[in-house]
Amino acid sequence: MIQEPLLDVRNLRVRFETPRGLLRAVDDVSFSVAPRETVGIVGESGSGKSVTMLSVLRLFPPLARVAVSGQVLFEGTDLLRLSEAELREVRGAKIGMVFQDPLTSLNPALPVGEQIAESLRTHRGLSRVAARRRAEELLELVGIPDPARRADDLPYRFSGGMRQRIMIAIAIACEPKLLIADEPTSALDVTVQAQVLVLLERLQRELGMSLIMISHDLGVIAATSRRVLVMYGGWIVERGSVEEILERPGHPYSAALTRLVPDLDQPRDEPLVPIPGQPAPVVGPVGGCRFAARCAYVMDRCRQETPPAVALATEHISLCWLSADGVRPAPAPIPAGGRR
Amino acid sequence: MLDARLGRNEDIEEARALARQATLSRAGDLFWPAVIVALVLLALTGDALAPYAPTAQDVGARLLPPFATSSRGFHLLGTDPLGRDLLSTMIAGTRLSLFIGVTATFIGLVIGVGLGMAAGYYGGSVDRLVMRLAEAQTAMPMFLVAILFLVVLGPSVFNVIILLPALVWPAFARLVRAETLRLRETLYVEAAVATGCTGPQVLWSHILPNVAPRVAVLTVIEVGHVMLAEAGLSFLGIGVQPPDVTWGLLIARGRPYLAVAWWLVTMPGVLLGLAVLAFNMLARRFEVASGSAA
Amino acid sequence: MTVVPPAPAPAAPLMQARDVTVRFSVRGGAVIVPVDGVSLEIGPGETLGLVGESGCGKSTLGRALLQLVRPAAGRVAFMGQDLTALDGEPLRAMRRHMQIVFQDPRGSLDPRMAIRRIVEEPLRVHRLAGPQEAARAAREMLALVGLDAIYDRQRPSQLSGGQLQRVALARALVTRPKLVVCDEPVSALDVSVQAQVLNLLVDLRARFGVAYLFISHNLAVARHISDRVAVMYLGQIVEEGPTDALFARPRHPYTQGLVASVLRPGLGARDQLAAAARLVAGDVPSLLQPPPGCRYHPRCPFAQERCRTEAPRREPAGGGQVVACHFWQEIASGTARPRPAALATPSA
Repeated sequence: MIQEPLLDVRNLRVRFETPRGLLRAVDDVSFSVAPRETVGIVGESGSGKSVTMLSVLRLFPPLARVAVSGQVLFEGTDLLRLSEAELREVRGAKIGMVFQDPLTSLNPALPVGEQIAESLRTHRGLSRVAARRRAEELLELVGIPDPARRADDLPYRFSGGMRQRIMIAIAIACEPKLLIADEPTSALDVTVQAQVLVLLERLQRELGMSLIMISHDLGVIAATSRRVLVMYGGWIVERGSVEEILERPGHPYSAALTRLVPDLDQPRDEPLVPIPGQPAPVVGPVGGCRFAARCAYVMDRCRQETPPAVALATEHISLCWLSADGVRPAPAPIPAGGRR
Repeated sequence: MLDARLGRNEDIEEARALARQATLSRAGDLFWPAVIVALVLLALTGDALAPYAPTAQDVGARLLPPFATSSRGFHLLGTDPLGRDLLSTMIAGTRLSLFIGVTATFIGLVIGVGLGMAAGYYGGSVDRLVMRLAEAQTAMPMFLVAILFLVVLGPSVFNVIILLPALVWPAFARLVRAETLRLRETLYVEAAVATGCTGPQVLWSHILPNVAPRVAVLTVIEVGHVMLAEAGLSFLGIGVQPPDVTWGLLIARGRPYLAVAWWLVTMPGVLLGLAVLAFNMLARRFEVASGSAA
Repeated sequence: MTVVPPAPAPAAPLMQARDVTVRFSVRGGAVIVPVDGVSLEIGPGETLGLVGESGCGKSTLGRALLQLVRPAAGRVAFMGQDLTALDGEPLRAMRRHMQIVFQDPRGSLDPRMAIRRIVEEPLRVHRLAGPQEAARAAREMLALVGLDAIYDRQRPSQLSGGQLQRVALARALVTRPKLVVCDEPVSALDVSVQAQVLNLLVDLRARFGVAYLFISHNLAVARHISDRVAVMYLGQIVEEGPTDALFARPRHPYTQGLVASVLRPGLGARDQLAAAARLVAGDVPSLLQPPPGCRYHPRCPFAQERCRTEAPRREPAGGGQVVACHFWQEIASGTARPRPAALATPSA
């Protein structure tokens, strides 16, 4: 990539001190996001995908016993070295965030227009009147009908999809360079999901933002992202283009992901191929590959030695001993462009 | 090992400080449970620990102040008008005071939990009847009613034990009814009904075990209350009768001598106060523990 | 292909619901009708998928069929008895033949009961086995759902979500019921665990010949497991039919929108997203004020004046499909043109 990246995360490690021992939530994670690019991060709960993004903005719960190391370079500045006050200038203004649950993220007692205006007044120094006018424009931009009137409504007066649109309006109010969307549609109905994803794409194009799309749903990632990071147990186990991850996965976990959930295009009698066991947090001393316990291709070496990062193509990297041996996991049966 | 290069190390320090405080106050918390354990041991092994026989009189050693010595020996808390060792009689009273407190509370608990669960689970007329009873109970000056009953029935340990539960069951019934109303809405109770459990089976297997922690807290508080009520009745002369002895009775016996022998009222009074306080503090501990676990 | 009567079902249905309606009073004296005149049939050993979005009444319908919520109107025939006419002991006795598995496995298991006791309970309350026999049957059932004996004495808090859902399944099947209502049984689970539980559901169905009412908001999951699928929208079933036919030729505009909205993890997902957003507009309206006429008309790209006033009837659409839409034939033949989807409906 010739272009200077907007966000450049280098060797990020996040550890939590828990009663059961040291939790390695994120381990040696490096990736970059170019201007105007969309990067998808896919993984299950506990994979470290959300913690990675929370540590970019240091949004940890108060009193969490957490240790972060590495570098998070945003426009060349290491966010990890900023003071809390300096970081506040970045949060909301240069980096916006949209979370899964719009109801708990909105203040239930404040009209939505004011919640949008609040951010504009603090970050942009807009006057009350100007902030209000801009808030109405933003509501219109995200597709809320009759914004002048609805800006005075409290959050409970809106449906789930509408609330997520309002959250998006707040996130883009200061025209951030980067928008982080953490499972933005997982709490929404399927018919509403498409609308919200289309809205996010349109805004990204119009405002020239970069977008990080975090989801457990490969369909959402495939529909929005060109580059994908697959996370498991705090590691990025595979990275590559959507085509590479979906059609030529190098890591057994990525390959398994594509066969895990039923697919509308797949023959109905084809059995699902589950991954045995369940995702477990990485606590205490660990050695070898973190996916070894659940992997169908596990070898002795996987249990002892940390797998190497193997380049399968330019920008297509798999963290796996199998890839080091030049072996690919069985290809996932994905129908080629199975459109109706 | 912990690389806290973020500004977050203050938070870690703060958390550690909190943890240290938590350990310190935990050591302090041991005091009240220790008091209760001591009282129970006293009640169980009292006679062996008492320096003198509690009924042994000695006319030569009447109304001795604390730390006095008689021909028989040392009297830590002094003696009464008949020369009985106060410490020994207090130890003897512990057994009956605790016994009445625990037994009467337990009877109140059984009544209150049963009625409370029925009221909360079945609702409707059962609920109205139980709650009306509890309200009536709370509105009436129950202590006066108890006095009336004891005067009519005659004062005795047995009558005290069957009367005192009337004072405590409404508290149990209210708590259990509220908890039952909450639990009735849980998914696992709905699952039990869907499985085919009958009402009593749901109450016994799913509601009762889940209200038990809250009931335990209330029980400990109420033991203190009942002991206080028993002391009041005995003080009025309609509770426990000699030769049985409880702390309340000791206070009553010492009252005429208050001007000349302050220790006769003060020592059992302090012990009673200490016991009630200990039960309340223990209940608070339980509450905090179960609150954080839930 | 033959034209079948409105209710396509095997000879003797196991459960037959007719015009089931559920009403709830909500605060402020208003009444909502989460289930409005629903009829359906489930054959012995058949799996009927019930799909729809949040608030469409699918969970309430599942509970109403089992009489966990009593319907305000309608009848539910099950194994030759009218459940709506039963009460007390006779109804309770029927429960051994019809069980339920909930979405939230942690919430649906008593936190203070040991795992094996949870599975023994249905046998105990229906007096189907003595203590030792019940313990053995529970152990066998737990082994069948893939749980090791080491979990017998543990409490639910010590198990993972996937393991707890296995326990819930063991409890539901230990009395060998004829019907199990599965209310979003995999929605709360991690994706890698969902597949395990779905495969288990399929195995258990084959072993016991049990019928499922499989309630799900996830179309792909419902399609995977169901023989027939019913699509619910705002308290009513808008379309119903054999799974393959329904997904190959969705007739109702809402079903079409739903099917189009499921993003395939394939390479065409990007184009598909744009198409889906064009096809379905707005959000699900509130049950407090359901739209008049056809309830889907405010979101429907094919809606016309008739849809605003007249509720459509269920009509056979061939191949066993039944659809409730005035214009399904015009839509199917391509003579009805969709208008571009409005940005959003004003009704929140």
